[in-house]
Amino acid sequence: MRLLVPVLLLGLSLPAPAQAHQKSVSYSKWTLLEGGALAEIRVRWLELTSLPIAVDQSVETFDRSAVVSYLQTKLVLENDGGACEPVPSSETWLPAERGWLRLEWRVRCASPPRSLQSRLFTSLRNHVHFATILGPESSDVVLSPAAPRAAIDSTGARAGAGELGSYLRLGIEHILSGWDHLAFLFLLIVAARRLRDVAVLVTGFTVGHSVTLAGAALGVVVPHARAVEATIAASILLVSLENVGMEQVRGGVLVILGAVLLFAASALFGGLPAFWGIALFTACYFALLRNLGGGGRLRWLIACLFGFVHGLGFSGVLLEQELPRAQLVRALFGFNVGVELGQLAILFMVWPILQWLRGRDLGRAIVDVTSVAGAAVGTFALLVRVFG
Amino acid sequence: MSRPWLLASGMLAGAVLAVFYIVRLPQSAEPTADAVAWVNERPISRSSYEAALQAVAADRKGGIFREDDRERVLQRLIDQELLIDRAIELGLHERDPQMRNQLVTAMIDFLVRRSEDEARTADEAALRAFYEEQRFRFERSAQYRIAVEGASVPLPEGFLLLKEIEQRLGPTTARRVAELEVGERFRFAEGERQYTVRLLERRDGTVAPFEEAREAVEAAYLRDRSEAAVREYLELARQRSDIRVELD
Repeated sequence: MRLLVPVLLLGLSLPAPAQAHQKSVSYSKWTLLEGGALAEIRVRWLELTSLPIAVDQSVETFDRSAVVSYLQTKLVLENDGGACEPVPSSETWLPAERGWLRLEWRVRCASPPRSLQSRLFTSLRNHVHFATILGPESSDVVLSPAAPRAAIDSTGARAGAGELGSYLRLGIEHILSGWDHLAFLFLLIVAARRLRDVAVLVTGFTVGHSVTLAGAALGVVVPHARAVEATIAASILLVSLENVGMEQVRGGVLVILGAVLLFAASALFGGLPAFWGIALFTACYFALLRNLGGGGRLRWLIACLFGFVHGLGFSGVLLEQELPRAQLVRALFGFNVGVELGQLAILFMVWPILQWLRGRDLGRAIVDVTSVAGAAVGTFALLVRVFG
Repeated sequence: MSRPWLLASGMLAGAVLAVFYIVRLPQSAEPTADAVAWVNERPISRSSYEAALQAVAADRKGGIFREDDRERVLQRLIDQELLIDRAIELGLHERDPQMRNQLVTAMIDFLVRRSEDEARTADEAALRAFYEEQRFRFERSAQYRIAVEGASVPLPEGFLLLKEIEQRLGPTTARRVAELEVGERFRFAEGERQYTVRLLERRDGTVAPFEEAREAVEAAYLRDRSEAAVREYLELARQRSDIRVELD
């Protein structure tokens, strides 16, 4: 407890990956035509600044023909004879939202296309390219430096398993690269003593995030992105405070009050009215824990409730693609299974280590250290996401 | 209610409040019951379809449709939508000067029409207030009865407006007439043309009573409202927009 306040302050002074884990992404749409295809690509100008074609990191200084040439050579449709050829002078610059470029061009293929390859932004390790193939039957592929090529079927007999696989991989990558989801999950299980408790918590979190991931991806609800990201940060802070039994320790009420005031300030000055609710919830939650004689009793509820919010965070990556509904269900399934697999992989790695540490009487210490760190990072992330 | 239940209720209220602001329900699209077709989720309304059919009927003998007319009209409307989609996608509305001008005109027309519709519902009190405020706009011009001696100028009997005198005798004469007192005369010479003009009678300009000027008041009110609507919209748009002038 004595450590908590200085560590919180220290956390505020450190640069941390407080923003939501933004992937580097680009999109393309390939309309298969007789003898070729029409390609349309959407890329952030910012990402192009990482390439040697940028003169001085400014959008205005790009040589547009160099951009066209880069995109046409790095994103290629392939047939049996190799890459399909871009039709000269077929490129058209389309209007795009601020910060993005949209370019269209035609490619000529001597035989039906078989695969799509992306070598875009290979220097950015987390770059993901989403492509939609509009042929006799539409399909999606997700390409990344780890899996730069995907088979496509232009005859109408679709390779659905490949598409499902690419979303499954995306789900795994998403959870593994999402420090905030991992931090929340870790802080949930670090204080659990039995595997049964872990199973309950993980089930609660899974049920929560699966419901809202599906709801948001299918358009049943529309998430408020900034409120979701800020609430995810708040969830890390809240579960950290519970881990150290803040409602029981001397002076803990002041720390809880501080968190409640921080949430109220987020609502009042950060323009996020959802935090009035979170402030009320937090105050009542810790008062109830104190009344019930200690933390841990309602953790399944926290796992499930904040799981709802984390699910809304997961949905962003699928919503960005604006997939047709039929594909969305398949993508959603693959993505969610990927998230669960990534989550299980983390558990299988972390749980034995935690047990080993407990066997050496370090159980309490690891809970305290990680929770204090979690509180610091959660507070910092919350401030950045609300006021940054 | 016991303390734990009270706290649990507080938690529930907090969670509900948070959820209310974190997610919202999607807005359902405006129901378009009379759509005859949908192109990329945009409706083609029955009224557009029927207007197009009427145009075709006007070309047909006796207004009788051929067998494939209905299908052809529908397909043409779908083609139109597809072309409009592509034009928007290519940003023609941003690049083509002719289309930009048409859009500007259409937007002004839209604002004018909407404000005129609103202005037409203005009550009597608003019209009267406008009339009182803008009385000078409903003033009748002064009228003059003159006699011309020494030249055969065809002048109608009775009172004339200065504008009418100007048309017949020229602007210099009209200006001089306006300065004359009743009974006074002046001699006018221009080249070989010489004559004398005498002011017989004058009626000073007066403001027309409201009932007499009602039509003119209504027209002026509509015009004023529509001009104000365009001006107000542009002021609002300027406030909302990020405008940077980089002219040296």
